[in-house]
Amino acid sequence: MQTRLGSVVEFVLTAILVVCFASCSNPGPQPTPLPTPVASPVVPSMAASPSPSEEDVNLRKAEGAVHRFWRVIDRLSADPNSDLTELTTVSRGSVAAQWARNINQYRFDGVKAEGRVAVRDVVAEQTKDDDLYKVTACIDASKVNLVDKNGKSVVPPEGPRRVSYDYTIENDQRKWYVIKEKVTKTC
Amino acid sequence: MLKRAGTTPFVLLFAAFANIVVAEQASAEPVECPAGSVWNPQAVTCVLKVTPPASGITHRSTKRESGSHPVNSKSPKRCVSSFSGKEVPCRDGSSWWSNARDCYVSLADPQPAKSDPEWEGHKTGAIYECYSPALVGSRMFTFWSATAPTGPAAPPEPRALALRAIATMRLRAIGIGIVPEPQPGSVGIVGMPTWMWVANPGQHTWGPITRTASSVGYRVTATAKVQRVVWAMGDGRTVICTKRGTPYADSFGKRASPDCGHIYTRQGTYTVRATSYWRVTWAGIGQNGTIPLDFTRTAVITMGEAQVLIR
Repeated sequence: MQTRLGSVVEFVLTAILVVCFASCSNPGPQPTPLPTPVASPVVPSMAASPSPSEEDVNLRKAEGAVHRFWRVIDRLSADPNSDLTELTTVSRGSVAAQWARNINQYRFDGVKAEGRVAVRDVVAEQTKDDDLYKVTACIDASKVNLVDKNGKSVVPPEGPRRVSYDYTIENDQRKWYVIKEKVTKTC
Repeated sequence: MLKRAGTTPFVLLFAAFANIVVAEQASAEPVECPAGSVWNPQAVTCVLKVTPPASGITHRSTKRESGSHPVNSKSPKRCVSSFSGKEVPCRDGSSWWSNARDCYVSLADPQPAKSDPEWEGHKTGAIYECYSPALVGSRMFTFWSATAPTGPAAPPEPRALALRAIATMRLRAIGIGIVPEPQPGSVGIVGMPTWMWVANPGQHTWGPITRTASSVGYRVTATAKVQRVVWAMGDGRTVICTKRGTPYADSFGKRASPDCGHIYTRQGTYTVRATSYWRVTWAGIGQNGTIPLDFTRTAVITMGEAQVLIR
C-alpha cells in the first residue's frame, strides 16, 4: 500500500516500511527512506601508522593522473581502431587536442606504437590554486617503438628517449586531468 | 607546416628538427622544439603543435553574442601614404595608420549616441575618427565601420582578446550535489523532496571570476558568472535555479529544498543533467560585449516507491 508523503510518520510505529524498487523479493540496495545522506560508519582502526592526510592523498592522485594519462596514450597509440575520445578522460584542452593529433598522424602514416612508456621519478606539488597540481616526471620511452605495417621501426635512432616533463594536473570534482605539459630536459 | 612523410615520416620529421633537439647524454640537457612544434617522446621528434581555435573554448554555446566584431583581415606590414607615396609611421599616439583610408584612425571616444546620423542607421560596429597630418588643411572626420579598420599597428580585435581571457578562466560545469546521492545503494523515495545544489562552488564553476588579456599594449578584461543552472531531471521536467541551491542536511528531514528542488512521481533510474549558463561581460579597447557559455554535467540517481504494510 502506498502512502502519501505526509502520512509516512504516522505509520512508522505500526507499519513495516518496505521499499520496493523493481522487485520486492530482490535483496538489492537498501532504500533511503528520507532524503537523508547516510554517514559512513566509523570503524576504529588498529593500524599503527596514521592515515595519510587529504593533501597527501591528492598529491598521490595527481601523480596517478600522469600514469593514467600515459596508459591511455599507450593503448590508443597501439590500436589504430581505438576511440580517441578516451583522451578526454585523462586530459583536457590543448593536451587532449595535441595527443589526438599525434595519434591521428600515426594512423595517417600507418604506424602504431609497441611497448609502454615508463613514467619515472614522479613528484607532485600543490599550486596556489586549490585544484591545480604541478607534477614533474621522467618519461622513459626507451621501450617504445613506432612501427609501420611491415613492422619496421620509424623512430629515429638518435634523440633522447628519456625526457622530463612538467605537467599541470587539474582536479575537477574528484576526477583528474592533465591540462598542460611541457618538456624540459633529458633525464 | 610539417609535411606528411611517406613511409618514414618520423625520420624525416626528426631530420627537420635535428639541429634543435639535443642528443641523449648522461647529464640532463634541455629539450626544446622550434616555435610551432612540441616534443613527442614516442616519436622522439618535434611534431606540429596543435593551435587551439581563436576562441580557445571547446564548449557548446547556444546564444548569440553581443558586441562581437570579426577579426581584422590580413594587413600589409608597411604604412604608406598614397598622397606622398612614402612610408609613414604606423602609429601616432593612440591612432593607427590605415592604408585603405589614407589616414590615422582611432575609435571615437565617447561614441556618439546610436541616434546620431554618424551611425547611418547601424546598430552594431563603431564610429571612428580619421585624420591625415601629412595633408595641409587635413581635418579630422568621422565614419562608421562594422569592423575596426585594419592596419599594421591596428589594435587587436577586442573580442579575440576577451576569448583569450576567458580561456584562462578554466570555466567548467558545476559539481552536482543531489539527494538521493548518485551512487550505488542510494535510493530516493518517490514523492519525497529531491534536493539539488552546486557542490563545492568556486570561481571556476560558479564565478564570479575576472581575467585580463593583453596584446601589443591593449587590454581586455572579462568577468564571468553563472546566471542560472537548468536541471533536466530525466523525467521530462526541468528545474531552473538561479541560486546555487542548499546542500541537504539530516536536520532538514523531509522538507523541500528552499531554492532548488524537485519531486519525482515515478520510480526509476534518472539521468540528471545540470547545465550551468554563464554570462561573460568584457570591456576594452573602447568596446564591450557579452559572451554566453554553458557547461553540462550529468549524474544518475535512482528513485523507488515506498510501500507500507500494516499488520
